[in-house]
Amino acid sequence: MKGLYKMLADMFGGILIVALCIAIFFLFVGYYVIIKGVIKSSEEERKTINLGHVLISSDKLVYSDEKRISRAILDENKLDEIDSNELFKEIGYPNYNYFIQIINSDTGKSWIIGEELKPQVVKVFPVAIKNGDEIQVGKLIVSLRGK
Amino acid sequence: MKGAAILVWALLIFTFLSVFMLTTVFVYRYRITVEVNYQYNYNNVQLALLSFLSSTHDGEQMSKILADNIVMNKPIDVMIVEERLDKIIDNKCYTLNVSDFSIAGSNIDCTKKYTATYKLPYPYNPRNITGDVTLVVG
Repeated sequence: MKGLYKMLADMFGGILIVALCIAIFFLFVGYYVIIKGVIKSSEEERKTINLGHVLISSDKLVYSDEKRISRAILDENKLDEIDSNELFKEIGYPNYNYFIQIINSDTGKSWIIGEELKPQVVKVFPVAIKNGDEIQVGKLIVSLRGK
Repeated sequence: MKGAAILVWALLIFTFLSVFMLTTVFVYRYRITVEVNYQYNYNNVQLALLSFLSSTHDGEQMSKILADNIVMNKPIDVMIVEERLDKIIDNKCYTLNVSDFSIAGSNIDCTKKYTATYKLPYPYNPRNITGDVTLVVG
């Protein structure tokens, strides 16, 4: 009887040690996955910020003359006539989709460039909008989602 | 008895690893988020000030209206400046300083602050040709 108890106790101990080894293995796997996720989400945030900065410096959206491009001053005429396909072909990341919303805070007029999608990251950038001779204030909102 | 000792050691190693890994994940996540947010907010304050100074009122740029006020003591409509800044900065937590002129937003409950400074050209001013305009946003 005593021998049986000892055998059972040894078996139980052995099973527990094996279970702990498996748990430690999954702990490492989980750690790796979480760290990868953190890096990826931060990468997406950075990509959205980069996109915003490229867009507010792009000749396709901002006011420009022959000599200079006015960074962060969007041109209403260009916004009215923009070809989203051409813009996305030129500015974007290969594995990501995005759309832009621009709001003129003074007039309330807004533009949506691209197809609306459920975003993973949304970033807002304060901009000025040239409307005729007046320059008004507004926002450029970039919404990014992985393909 | 020996089996129990091994078990205790294994449990201790497991607990130590779990605590260490969880802590590093949180520290890493916190650090990476804080850094990205800091850069984003800092850049946005710069953009907010740039947009504000570029914007116009009755055909005159805000930068010129502010400069005229400082150099020629031309009166400035505080309401217009405040309204413009309120549109740019959603949380209304800001302070704009240009020489002696200062304007603050309605929200005074500001915690972390980001500062942007630009050189404002002062036309026809014999003493200084430029001055600093500073926007502090919470």
